[in-house]
Amino acid sequence: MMPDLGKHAATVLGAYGVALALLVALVALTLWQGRRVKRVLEEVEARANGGQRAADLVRADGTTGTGHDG
Amino acid sequence: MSIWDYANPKTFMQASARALPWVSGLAVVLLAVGLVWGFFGTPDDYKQGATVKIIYLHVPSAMMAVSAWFMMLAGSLIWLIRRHHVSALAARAAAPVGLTFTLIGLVTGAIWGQPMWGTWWAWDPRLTSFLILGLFYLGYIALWQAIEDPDTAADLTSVLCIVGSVFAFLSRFAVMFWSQGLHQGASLSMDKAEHVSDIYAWPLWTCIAGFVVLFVALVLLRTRTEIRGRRIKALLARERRVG
Repeated sequence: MMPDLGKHAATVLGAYGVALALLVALVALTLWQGRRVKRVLEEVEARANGGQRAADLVRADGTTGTGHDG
Repeated sequence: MSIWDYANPKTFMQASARALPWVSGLAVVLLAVGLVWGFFGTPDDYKQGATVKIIYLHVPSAMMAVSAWFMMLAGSLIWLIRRHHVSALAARAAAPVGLTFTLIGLVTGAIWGQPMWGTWWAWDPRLTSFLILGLFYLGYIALWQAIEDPDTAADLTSVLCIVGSVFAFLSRFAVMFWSQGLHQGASLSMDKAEHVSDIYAWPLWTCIAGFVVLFVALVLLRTRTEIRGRRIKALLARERRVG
C-alpha cells in the first residue's frame, strides 16, 4: 500500500521518478549497445573467416577461386 | 590465478560471462529489497518528513558517482603503468555509469534541497565540487570519442582522470575540512551522534550494496562491449589492409 507522503508527495515521487528513469535508461542503453556490437562483431568475424578460407583455398589450389559457397 | 590474468581480453570475456548472471541478479534483488524497504517500510523523519525517503537514492548514487571515478583512476593508472588494454577499456566503460549516478545525485539532491534548504542549488563546497566532477565525466567521455587512435585516447583520458580525481576527492571529503555550506556531514558516520537512525540505516546500506553491485554488473557488461568494439576495429583495419 502506498505510504502517506503528505505535503512532500510530489517531491518524493519526483525524485524517485527521475532517478529510476535514469537508471532504466542506462541499463537499456547498455544492453542495446552490447547486443548491437556483438551482432556487428559476428558479421565482421564471419566475413574475416570467409576471407581467410578463400586465401587458404588459393594457397592450396594455386587458383584464384573466391572460396565463397554461393 | 593472478589478477593480471584478467588483463587478457579472452580470460576477461570468459570470466565475466560466468559472473554476469549472478552479479546482475544480485543487483536486482538488493535494489528491489532496499528501495521497497526504504520507501514502504520506514517512517517519516521528525524534521524532514517523508522527504527522508530520498536518502535511499541520493546517498548511494552520490557515493557511487565518486567511487566510480576512483575505479576509473585505478584503471587509468594500470593502463599508464602496465599498458593493459582491458583496464583502459574498463575505465572507459565506467564513465557513462558514473555520469548517470552523478546526474541522479544532482537531481535528487536539488529536489530534496528545495523543501529542506529553501533552494534547489547552493554554491556550497560539496555541491560545487560534485558538479565539477560531473563536468569532468562529460569531458572524459567526449575525449574518448574525439580521438581516433585508441592508445592515444587511453593515454590522454588517463591524464584527465588523474586531474579530475582532485574533484572526486574534494566532493567526498569537502564537508570534513570546509566547515561552511548547506550540505550536512556524512550520513553513515561511525560517530553515533551524527549517524542516521538504524531504522533508516539498514535499508540505506542495502541500497548502497545494490548500487555497488549494479555498478559492477554494468561495468562488466560495458567492458565486454568495449572489448568487442576494439576487436571490430582491428578486423576492419585488417580488411582494409588486405583489400
